Amino acid sequence: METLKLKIKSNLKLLALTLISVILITASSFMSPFFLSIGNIRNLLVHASVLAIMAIPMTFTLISGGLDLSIGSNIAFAGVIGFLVYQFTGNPLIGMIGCLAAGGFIGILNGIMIGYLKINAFMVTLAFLAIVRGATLTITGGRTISVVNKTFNYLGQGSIFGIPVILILIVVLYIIFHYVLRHSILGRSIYAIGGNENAAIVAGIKTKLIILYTYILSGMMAGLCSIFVVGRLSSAQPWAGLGVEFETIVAVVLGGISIAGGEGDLMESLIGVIVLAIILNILGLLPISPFYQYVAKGAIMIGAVFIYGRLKRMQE
Amino acid sequence: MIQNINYDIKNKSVIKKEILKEGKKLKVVNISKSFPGVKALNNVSLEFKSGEIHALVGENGAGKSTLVKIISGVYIKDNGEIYINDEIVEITYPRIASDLGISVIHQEFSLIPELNIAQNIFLGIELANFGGFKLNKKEMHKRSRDILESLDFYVDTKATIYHLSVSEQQTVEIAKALIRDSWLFIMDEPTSALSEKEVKFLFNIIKNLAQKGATIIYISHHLEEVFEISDVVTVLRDGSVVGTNETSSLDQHKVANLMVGKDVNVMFSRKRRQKLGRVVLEVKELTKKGFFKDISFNVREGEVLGLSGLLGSGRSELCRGIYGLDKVDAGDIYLDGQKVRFNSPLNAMKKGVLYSPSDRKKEGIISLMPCDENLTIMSLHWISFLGWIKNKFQLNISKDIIKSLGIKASSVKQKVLNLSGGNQQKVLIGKCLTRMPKVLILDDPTRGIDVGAKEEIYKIIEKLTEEGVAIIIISPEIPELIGISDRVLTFLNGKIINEYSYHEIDQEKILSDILIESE
Repeated sequence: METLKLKIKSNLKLLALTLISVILITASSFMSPFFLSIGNIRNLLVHASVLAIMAIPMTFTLISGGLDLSIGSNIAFAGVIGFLVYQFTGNPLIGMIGCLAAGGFIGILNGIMIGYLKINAFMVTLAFLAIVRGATLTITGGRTISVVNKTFNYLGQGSIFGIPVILILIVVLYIIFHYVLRHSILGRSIYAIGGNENAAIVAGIKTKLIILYTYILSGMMAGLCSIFVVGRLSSAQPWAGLGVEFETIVAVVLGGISIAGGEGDLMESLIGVIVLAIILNILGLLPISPFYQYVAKGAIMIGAVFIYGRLKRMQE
Repeated sequence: MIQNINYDIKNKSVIKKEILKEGKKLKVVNISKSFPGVKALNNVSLEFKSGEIHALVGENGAGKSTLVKIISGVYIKDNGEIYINDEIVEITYPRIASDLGISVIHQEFSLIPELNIAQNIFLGIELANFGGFKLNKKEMHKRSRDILESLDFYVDTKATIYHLSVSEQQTVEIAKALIRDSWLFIMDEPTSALSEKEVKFLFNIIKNLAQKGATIIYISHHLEEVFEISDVVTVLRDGSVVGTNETSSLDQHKVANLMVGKDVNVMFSRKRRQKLGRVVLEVKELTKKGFFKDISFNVREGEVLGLSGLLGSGRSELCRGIYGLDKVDAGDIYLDGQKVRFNSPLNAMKKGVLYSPSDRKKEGIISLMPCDENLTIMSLHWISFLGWIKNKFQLNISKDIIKSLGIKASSVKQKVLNLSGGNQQKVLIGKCLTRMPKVLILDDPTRGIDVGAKEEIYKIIEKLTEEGVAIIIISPEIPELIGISDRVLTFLNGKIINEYSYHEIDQEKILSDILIESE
């Protein structure tokens, strides 16, 4: 009975946010005739997909007590490198692996500096946000590269029985990673490190290695996302992913993830992604300046942090 | 580091009379102070006279720190009065204390490293013209120089604090106090970071200050220093004054006696086993530069080895070194006769050596996690299958430990943050038990918990010894160690001073070992 009560309590947040999403969808369909159109739903899904993919590693790094600000730049970087690998080998599949590897490589660099050299995560990933973007621009000379290979673009454009492939992939990823976070030794260790890193060290957990893993995950997911983005645009763009790290953080914070670390759930992040994507989408459809979206993102973040902070204090 | 102080004491009285205004006396009457669960001061009445160096001694938790914090405005007393020259004063804020002429010279200095000496001395009381717009730097430097010269410290006042040695910084701190017309100087463990020469230099300053009428309160664990510098000694124990005597009428052993109390009330006396098992852990000449040197001892199955010593005597560092948390420079460790080297806590845990840290908030519990997850954090692979945690195993193990240790929690899922201190401590021990330890090292396991909870911890230790676990326990409370240990090792400055077997254990001897440096 106790555990049931606790389960309901923790799911209250999810319930509330799901309710909000339903209200938002209904309200939006009234606010604009275009909201439920196929074209708009596609836009919404694309936007949400990028956020959803990146919300997974962002949740992991936040819970471990860190964060990754380089993912946006990494998406562009991985896309470009992956394309070059494809061009060099002539094989699109190897090219896609190249995307994952390039993203993972940046992840390794982040992870070593943060986990082993103990440099502040904010500083390291912020620096890499600049370094990686600069590298991408240098390699491409600032130009967009056209990509027409059907295999390479499958993730971005393909669908099975009318359902976009990316959606299926996201569902699968969320199921796997939710289970990993909640029920695996690795996941438990991540909560421990975020909760009290010193205690985790005393308890024999290999904290440095696990922190490295979270950033490699972050990098590789950026790589995965780059495959999707390239496929979507049929091109590798050096400015892809701009601002993704910021939006992802807003999304997971909206879902209830704490920046301080040590607690949180992947499902919270997912709901945050959905709600944010809907809000931004409807704002885009309304006859107002597109710049309001920018303001909205910041306002939502402050609002979420404030409300969750209040709720927590009321609980104590 | 620039060494500007000439440490050859000329023994001249160097303080210009104008710098120290007329001395005053401070009297505290019936001061009490309580914190949740602890009565830190109990009707303390003392008098600190002008021109007198008055030492305050007592064990950790005796109340010395609390008393001076009340006098300096950091804490507010629960009741009692404070008088300066027989006039009652209310010291509710540190600024009020410093305005009244009370200064504290801490262990950690309140100087700003990036600013220079004059700026620090005049911090908050800068001299300026034109209504505060133009700083009169020339005058501030001149006055700073004068004050420092009176303390026999010749230095360029434009030097930044960062470049000064500890002793030099301390002298600047004293100058800071003097310039604010302080007449009461509270020195809290002022010699912990000083060399012998620097200590003598400091003592000369203190003696000169006293000669000019200053009132000095001197807190120290180093009894030999207390005897060298003070005129009067007050011993505090458990928040009460045990006695105030002229230093000349006492000796170090008498003071040590007063600190602990002649009636050794051993709260808990463990049933000792007649026969102990074989040697389980043996360490030989363990050394870590700056922390401990040539440590050798052994522990047997079912034995409790108590480590006594002051903070910084090396016991915790030693145990962390054995557990693989910190590096050890030299020496060997033998487990069951086999030579081992623990490079990480994981290695130690795998071989059955477990450690429960002294600071449970910092290194022990993961506050946001529920009980069952905290309890199983050291044995994740035992509650999982192929890397996936099985809730059933986690639940079973947690329930077992909660039951056998008597942890009071509303459910296995209660966050450890919400448990009482005693129960949190049990969680720490419980964590280690999930690994079936051969050797269990407990670092201050009864810190900050009430008497009832302490008894429960002792009973747990007793039960573990019956099961053959070898226990090493570090504790600042000597009666506790005596009640629970089969043998006691005394530590001072990183070395083992003595070993006492059960019938040899003597509270006074232990205390003098850990406090008094032998020649």
